[in-house]
Amino acid sequence: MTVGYETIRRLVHESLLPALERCVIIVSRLRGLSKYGECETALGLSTKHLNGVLDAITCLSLLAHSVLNTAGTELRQFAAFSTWLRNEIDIQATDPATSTADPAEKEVDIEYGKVLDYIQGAMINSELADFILRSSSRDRSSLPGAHNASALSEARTDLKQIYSACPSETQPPCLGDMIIHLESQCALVFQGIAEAQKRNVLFGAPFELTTSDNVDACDMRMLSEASVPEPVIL
Amino acid sequence: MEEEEAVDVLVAGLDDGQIHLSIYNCFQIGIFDLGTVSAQLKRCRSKLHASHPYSSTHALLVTSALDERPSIIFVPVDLRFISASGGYLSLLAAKSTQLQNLLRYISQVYKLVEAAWKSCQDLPTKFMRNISEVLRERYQCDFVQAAYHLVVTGNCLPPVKEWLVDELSERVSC
Repeated sequence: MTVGYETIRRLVHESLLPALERCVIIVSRLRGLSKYGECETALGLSTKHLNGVLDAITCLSLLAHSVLNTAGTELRQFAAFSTWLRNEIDIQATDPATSTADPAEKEVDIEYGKVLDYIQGAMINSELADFILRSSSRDRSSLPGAHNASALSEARTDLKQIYSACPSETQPPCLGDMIIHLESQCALVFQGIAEAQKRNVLFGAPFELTTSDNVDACDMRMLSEASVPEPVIL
Repeated sequence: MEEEEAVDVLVAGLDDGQIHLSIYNCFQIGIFDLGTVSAQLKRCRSKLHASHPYSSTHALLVTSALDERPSIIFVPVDLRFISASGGYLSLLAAKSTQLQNLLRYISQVYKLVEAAWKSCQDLPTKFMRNISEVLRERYQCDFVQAAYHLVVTGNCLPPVKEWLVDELSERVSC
């Protein structure tokens, strides 16, 4: 279990967060380009879509920090719990044999508060599970959708509710769903770029050369003559 | 990031009259169906391509077998986006590709996180299910209540004691 918590912490801290930061840098560069008016139509960058991507990235980093927080807390609770458990096992295992032994022989420093917190909380219902696991029974409408312009504020409210322990009807957004939302926002951006480039590819009128197709060897080269480059077909 | 003055273009001709364009070896422009350009070009096969470094117009030679009449057709293609993007094309292509790679990386990291969580929950859940079943049958309570009771009072229910000593002592530290 410790290994699991530590792996998750390490992955989120060392891999996810730096990747998100790099995304922010790249998206801001693209957003700068898109705001520079001339480029908007030529490059197909839409400031609105890029803002959506930035929103999604911010939500995702907010979630990632919450995951780090929760994982750290649960790890500490679990450490206390496993110390207590090992102690209990020793006590229960040696009880009948050494009934005269002083039970307080081994003074183990057990943080009972953390143990109780763990038993009542993370042992059965870990909060990390909400962040990490996608479940098909979740209420899809509570997820920040592409139609929802206030995805960031929604995620912030949800997380604030969790931290202040208010009962809330909406579950915290899951990392996986947030990543899907980010990917869909980026797809919009890429689509815009691709459309703009495709618009700028013009096919000229086709010109039929010959009506036979038994030409196996052929070559074609474009040469420039004087100031006007003309295609010359060999 | 220096601005490059040359754009590498890859033109891939597919068998069914479609042309796939990509630049800088990584940025996909898209797939164009020559059939939509002209009826003559439906389902043609690309044969040759020619271009000149100074011209943004490329030339394509395609063979068409429409109406059982084989013919060779010359198609000029003007790649206007090269000049229209005002020198920002290399920047755009590089940044989009980096963003795509980062997105792939992020979803891979998430898959690892999910797998790590599921695997670390496996064993403990099994243990808890065992003890909870026994407790429910004999004492109508679940493990949470029994454990709480044990922490607070030090009084251990017999099935819990058996479980602790037999099953959990194999679990050294996890």
